[in-house]
Amino acid sequence: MKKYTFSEKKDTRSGFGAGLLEAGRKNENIVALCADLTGSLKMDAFAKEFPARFIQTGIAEANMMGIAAGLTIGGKIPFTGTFANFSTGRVYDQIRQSIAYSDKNVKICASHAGLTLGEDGATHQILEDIGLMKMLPGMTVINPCDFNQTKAATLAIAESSWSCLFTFWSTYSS
Amino acid sequence: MLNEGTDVTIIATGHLVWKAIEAGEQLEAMGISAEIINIHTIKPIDEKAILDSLKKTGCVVTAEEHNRIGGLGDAVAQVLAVHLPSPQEYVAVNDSFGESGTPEQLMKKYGLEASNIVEAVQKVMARKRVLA
Repeated sequence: MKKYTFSEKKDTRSGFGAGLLEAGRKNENIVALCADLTGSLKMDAFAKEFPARFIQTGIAEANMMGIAAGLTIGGKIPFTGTFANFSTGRVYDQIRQSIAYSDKNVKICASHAGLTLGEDGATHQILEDIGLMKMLPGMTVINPCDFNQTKAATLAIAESSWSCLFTFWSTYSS
Repeated sequence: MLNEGTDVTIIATGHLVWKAIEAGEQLEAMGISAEIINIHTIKPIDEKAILDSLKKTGCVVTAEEHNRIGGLGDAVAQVLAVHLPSPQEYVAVNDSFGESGTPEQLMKKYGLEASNIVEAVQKVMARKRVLA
């Protein structure tokens, strides 16, 4: 068995935050939207460096998906950020009609997926996010395992032309 | 590909990748050689990676922090059903909602630990032997 050693504890969401900032520096068309969870998603560095390219939608996830879909028409590449439950289940209709069916290039970035969200309990723990999004025609589904893979995936989706669910975890690792 | 092996394929995503590595170490101590695949994209699924590995090992355990219905396990099962029917076991949440608890408590209660992967490997390998 190949040996894997534990080097440093780094959360996956910080990989997303770091990747988003780097992608934003590379491509000015990248914009970010967040539904009142900027700190939780580690999107604050992007918001600070590119205030004109960051939209705080408030706790209005359905609107966030509609705004993101609209932004693509002007050539923007929107990254939406909220917890996995509110990125998929809550806004399934908006994703289906305005993003998937309309073939819009929106990156749906979903943190705090699965059980390991922990104390917030069943209302916040989604275990259907991959299934819901997988069934939408044209939707890519990515689920990285750590900081490095999350950062690499963030940079990769930034250069792609397809919409995707990008679902990852919060702080728990190994 | 995290580890090459010959007896069983373990395909894991997200947190369960780390549990799969732990399980692989425990299996090695038991004399079982596990091939471990860290699959980061569920759709489109890497059919070639799955089939290349299964041609060698003949059985698979999938591991994910998701409902067993509609997740990684089903994506792998769909590939195998069409191209290479093989024994498979799922390590996933068994069609239920979660609850409040620490991540460690929940991973244990919902059967998402390395020990669950080891048990699933033993089960799937027994089924492979029956078929052989």
